Amino acid sequence: MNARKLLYILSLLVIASMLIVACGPADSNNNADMDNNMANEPAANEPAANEPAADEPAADEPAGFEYPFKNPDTYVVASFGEPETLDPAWTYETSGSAFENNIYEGLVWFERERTDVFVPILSTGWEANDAGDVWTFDIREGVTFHEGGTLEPHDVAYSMQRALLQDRVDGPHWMTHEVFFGTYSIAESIGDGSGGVADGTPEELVAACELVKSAVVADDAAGTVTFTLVQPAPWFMAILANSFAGAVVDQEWMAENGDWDGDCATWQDFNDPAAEESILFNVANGTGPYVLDHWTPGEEIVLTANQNYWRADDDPIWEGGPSGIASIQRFVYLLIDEWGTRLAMFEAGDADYVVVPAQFNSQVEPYYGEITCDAPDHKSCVEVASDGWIQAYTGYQRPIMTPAQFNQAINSEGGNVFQGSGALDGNGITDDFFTDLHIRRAFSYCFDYDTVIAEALDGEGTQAQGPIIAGMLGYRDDGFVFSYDPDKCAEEFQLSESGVWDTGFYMQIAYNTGNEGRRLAAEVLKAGIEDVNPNFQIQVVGMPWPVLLNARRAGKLPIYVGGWLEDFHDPHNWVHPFLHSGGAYGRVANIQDPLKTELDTMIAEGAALTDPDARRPIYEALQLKAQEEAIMIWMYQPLVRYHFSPWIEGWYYNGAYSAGSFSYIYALDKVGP
Amino acid sequence: MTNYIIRRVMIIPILMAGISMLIFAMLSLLTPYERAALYVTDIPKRQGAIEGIIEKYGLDDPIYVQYWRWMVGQKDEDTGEVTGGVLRGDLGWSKVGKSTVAEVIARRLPATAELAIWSAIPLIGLAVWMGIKAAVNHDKFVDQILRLAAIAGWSIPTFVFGLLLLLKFYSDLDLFPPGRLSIGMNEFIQSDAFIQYTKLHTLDALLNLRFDVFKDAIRHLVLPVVTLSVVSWAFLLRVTRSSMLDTLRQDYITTARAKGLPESKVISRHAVPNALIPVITVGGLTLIGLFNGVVITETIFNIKGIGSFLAQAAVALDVVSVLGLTLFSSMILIVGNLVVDVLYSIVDPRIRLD
Repeated sequence: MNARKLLYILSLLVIASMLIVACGPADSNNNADMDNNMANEPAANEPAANEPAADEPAADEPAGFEYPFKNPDTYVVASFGEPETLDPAWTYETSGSAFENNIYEGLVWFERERTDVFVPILSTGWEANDAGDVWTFDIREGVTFHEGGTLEPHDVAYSMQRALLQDRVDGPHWMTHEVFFGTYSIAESIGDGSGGVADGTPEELVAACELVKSAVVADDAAGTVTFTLVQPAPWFMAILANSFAGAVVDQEWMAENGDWDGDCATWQDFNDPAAEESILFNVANGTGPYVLDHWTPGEEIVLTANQNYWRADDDPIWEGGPSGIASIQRFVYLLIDEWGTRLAMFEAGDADYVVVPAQFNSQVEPYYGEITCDAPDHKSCVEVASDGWIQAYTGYQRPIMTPAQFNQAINSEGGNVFQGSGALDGNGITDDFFTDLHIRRAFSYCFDYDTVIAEALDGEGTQAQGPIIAGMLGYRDDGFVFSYDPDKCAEEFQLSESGVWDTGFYMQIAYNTGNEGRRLAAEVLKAGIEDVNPNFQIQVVGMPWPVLLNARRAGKLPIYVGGWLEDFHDPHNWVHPFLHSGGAYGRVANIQDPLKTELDTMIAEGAALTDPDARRPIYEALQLKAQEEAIMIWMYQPLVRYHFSPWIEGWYYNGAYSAGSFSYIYALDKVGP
Repeated sequence: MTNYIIRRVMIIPILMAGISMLIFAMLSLLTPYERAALYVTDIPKRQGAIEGIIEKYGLDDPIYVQYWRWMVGQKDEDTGEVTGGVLRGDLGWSKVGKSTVAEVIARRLPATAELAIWSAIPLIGLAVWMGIKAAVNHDKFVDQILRLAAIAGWSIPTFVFGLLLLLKFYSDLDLFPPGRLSIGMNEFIQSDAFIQYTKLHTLDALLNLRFDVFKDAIRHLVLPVVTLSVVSWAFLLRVTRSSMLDTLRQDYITTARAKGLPESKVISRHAVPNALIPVITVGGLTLIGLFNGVVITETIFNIKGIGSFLAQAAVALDVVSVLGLTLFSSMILIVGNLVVDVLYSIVDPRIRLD
């Protein structure tokens, strides 16, 4: 037989063998093949005890319902995006935070769906002084870390001190420093606060560390930890419930493994590390109900139930809540970038939850078998199908807002293509174009909110009423709100003393390529403005994120369509970023005096009060002023849906959770037919 | 031939250095702020955050300084410890891959290699066989059918074809799932009861005598292999066919036939060996391409290979990852080309490598 014939035969054999081997009956339970020594798995070749016969519908399900039950006791999520790190002090993104909430615990956690009521976790109780700036927590006894260490008050204090001192440059601890010291970084506590950590003398560095230690004090003998804030911070508990500030690590274990040992002489060596430089980058040692099994970057992250979890069976986390060892024994997070692949996995029963981009909602609606609508009259409350199998939860308002930010002091230095000629001559705009209230109001009237919500969000959204989102202290839906009104838009342009109505203008609106929602928002704004006057010209420009970020930082963009996801659930985390002169948006909005000073003062007043009734009028006033002054175009807040297989039980929505599907797996259960 | 191979191998480091400098020079077109965006995935919350990142990673250093640092590593002024450095065997840290570039390659190469190996045999074998059949039956029914199949295969988008297969054979029939293994099997192979010798699941399963794992791995390979084969063999089929047609028109073929040789011998002894020379080139490049990863197929079928990672790294402007993977891909290309050149001389003794 010559080589050529051999190759042909080999080729056919390969294909034939693949088909023969692969076309055998598929295992409905892929765990059934595992060795008997693997815990919690059925013996080889035996079906799971709770697995139905293949052609037998479950008792409670309608006839024709045939959704496979696979991977018992395992909750499988198919999604995209993975953590930057698993070090809670470093994490400032939703994916990592969600994993940490299952692995680590803090002193407090949210009571089920409540975002403003907290239950004790690693604490047994707490009290604040009358002024509201000193908080003392009683630390729970009998808690062990995954690696065997025992929780003590000094671990709690160490965790917060480490977070404050680690303080990576683009991390979350501007919020933590704000509540403890009224600053935004550890560098501001070194010397005169003008330099960086590297510029501090040894004495200044030790002093900064001692300052941190004086604000967070543990008393092992008394079993307490005391936090001293710079002033009352009504959102302090919300910050503690977040893993970036609240997650507790084992000080001795950390030191043994090469992290900071608590010595004020060495903290600077652990300041602002790269993600991978932290020992907690891809290992974890918390006290939580789940243990990190492994993380294969780009592929999967697997958690297993903590078999030594401290919570007793008769000690539910809240009334009727979970207790004892977690019901779901294994959590598998699969990184599946492609939507079609995720959908296929969902249909085949290999995923219990998949992330469905809003534009693909219509592809899964025919499979809805059960629906819970948080917005009853909304279009997402679709009819369920008799043979549907998806558990759908729809109409939930995520704490996300999309605004278009005006820049009131455009940087024209060295030329700026975004503002055209740089003069109001029909071919450009001036640097101070948006200092004119009438122009800002005109833009706000020319934006077709309903069209954008219909097109960009497929109807899954609501118009924003200002910087404060629906349901939050200070939110009001009875105040002044812009609506799409071309006549008023034209009228406001004509009221402008700049003469823009006669001269016309040209400018560019940029968005980051790939973000279709922002592109559509920019296009709708362009259409609305150009419709009222043919001399108005706007060019929508898509730019890669790095290029856009560069232009935004340089103050070149006249308008920028952005977004904000809250860090903690309090109006301060909305008004500060958008309206404060030092906020993430505020500082590039270049709001001019006297409005700038007025806003900064009101924000400071609201932050200094603890009584919600006293705070409410301040935030309502801020909300109203943000609209009337048209500081930004307050565009929309999305509504989201969650899609689960029929086997997942116990889910509820909490807007403060970073990932709705798996931020607290402990509360979930997987129950077969 | 040995001298030729040695000379080619000795040139590899020079080529690699040139490639790395070229890519680094292209990257210098990006501003430090643009490159810092890799580390700032959202609106910066703190004043000076981007500037801090630029300083931390030295992104505003002269490009030759950055290149040299990448090549030889960075010395810690306090401890004297040198970290990184391509010349020290460290391709750097991959921000996108969340591990060193070398680890990313080691982790992802088996998936790509397994797919390439399983695809190569049917792809090349069948394409060559069909190409020869088509040429031998020039303008007959078989030729027309194969040409039609080639055009269809060449025209159909991988993305569409792959998704259709997935929805039919996985969603509907639950026969061939995406990924490399089922969740339970994946859990099992990571246990102590299974030794991963090569990280090629099919091979490891056989070495461990675990035919259940082998079967599961094969189930996961069927659809990507079929997708790659159908889409890729069309080109190879057409090349083989046209090369065979050219060869069959040569005088020596006419001479062979005039001598009275049976047609099968004319084809197998005289035509095919000569017609295979361009096929080796195309087949070799196809195989090299498979080893460098196939982005769309890997993405649709959730195979975490080299190709999908390179695409992710490029989109994120992860310079270190792009550089490392480009060097790796270049190495495969150079070595692959060398193998192809050597194969020339084996297939056709008239070609001498001096």
